[in-house]
Amino acid sequence: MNYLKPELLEHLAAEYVLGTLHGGARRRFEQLMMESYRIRSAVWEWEQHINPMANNIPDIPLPDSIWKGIQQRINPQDFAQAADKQTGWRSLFLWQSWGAVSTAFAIILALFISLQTPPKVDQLNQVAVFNNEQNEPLWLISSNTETGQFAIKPINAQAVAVDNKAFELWMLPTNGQPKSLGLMPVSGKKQEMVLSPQLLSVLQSTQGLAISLEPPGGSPTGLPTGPVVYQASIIEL
Amino acid sequence: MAEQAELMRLLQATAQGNQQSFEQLYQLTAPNLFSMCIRMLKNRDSAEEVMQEAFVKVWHHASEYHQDRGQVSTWLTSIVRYRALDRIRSQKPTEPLDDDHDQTESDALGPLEWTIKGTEMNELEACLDELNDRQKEAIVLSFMEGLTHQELTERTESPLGTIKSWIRRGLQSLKRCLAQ
Repeated sequence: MNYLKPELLEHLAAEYVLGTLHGGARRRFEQLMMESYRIRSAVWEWEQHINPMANNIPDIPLPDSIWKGIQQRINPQDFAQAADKQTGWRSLFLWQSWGAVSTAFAIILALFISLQTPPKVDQLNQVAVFNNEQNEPLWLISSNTETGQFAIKPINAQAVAVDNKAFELWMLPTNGQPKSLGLMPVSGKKQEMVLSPQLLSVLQSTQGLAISLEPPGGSPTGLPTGPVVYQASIIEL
Repeated sequence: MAEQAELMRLLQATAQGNQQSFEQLYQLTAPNLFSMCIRMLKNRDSAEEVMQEAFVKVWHHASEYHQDRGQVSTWLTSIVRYRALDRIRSQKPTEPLDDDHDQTESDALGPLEWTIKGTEMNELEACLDELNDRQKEAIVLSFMEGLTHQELTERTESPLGTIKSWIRRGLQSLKRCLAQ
């Protein structure tokens, strides 16, 4: 199919903006948008044509919770400080390295989260924290190497999300090739799963985790195909 | 929405890291966008999450805006709408939308009425009015509620091929009209 044929391009761009292009066709079109300025331009033109349709919708008063949530995500350090006061871990701030502080806070947060519901202390014996370049936490990983329970909690990952790309999580075992643990959520609630015995045995010999940038849907080869963008050590509790 | 020049000034300051300007931009634009989200998602919690995700993206990507994207409000609408569409599509297989959403004035209007309710008939509204009722209904419903072709067949009780044809021809007519 020649997507640059003007009539087809025009139609696909219009249906993309309208939202009726969906599923695999939408993803393929997004990939093409990345490759072609002409396709992006067609989409932008249609956005300008039909987005004003939204302007006539009557406003709705905004709940404070939306702005608070936005602030929490764009200023995670403020959120961390506020939470620190609440938990009384002030001594942590004597640490000289802010990176260490933020990592420690993230671990505390992981513990806090995992101890909330369900209240089973023995469910968690490993954590890992992925930080951004400013050492602000992006994701918290927690796991139990006996039961195979595994959880991913996005903290501020939305901030680093890349259009038309997915973050894929990899175990880096002491011996052998990286093993995928699936795609990382960039927002929403903690994602929990139970690892298969095969994956659990790899996890037991893994000291580090990595995240690579992959096409939507994840690596097509079973091994990282994009750049490794984040790494984290597994911390035993 | 607010004047585009003001939105542009606030977006430029946001791109420089000015959080006060970002908050002003949010306060000016979000009530309309939140309303759009609720209408699309029919679930207030999901709409709040989409708004948060979209505006966090605006904060981090404000500098990527350029004039080829159209007015600032167009760009913001795209960011929020695409997030909402992603959310709708990801929810549908397992999580039916509830009916517990805000009843707004716009909900009371059918797709054929609401677009002409504004005090000023703008260019788009005039061109939408030139479409036949079925074409207009299909386009407005898919835009406002994020309906797929298949869902439009159920809503309008019309065959899939007919729906696709209404949308294709409606969009072509819209384009011709807007180009004049």
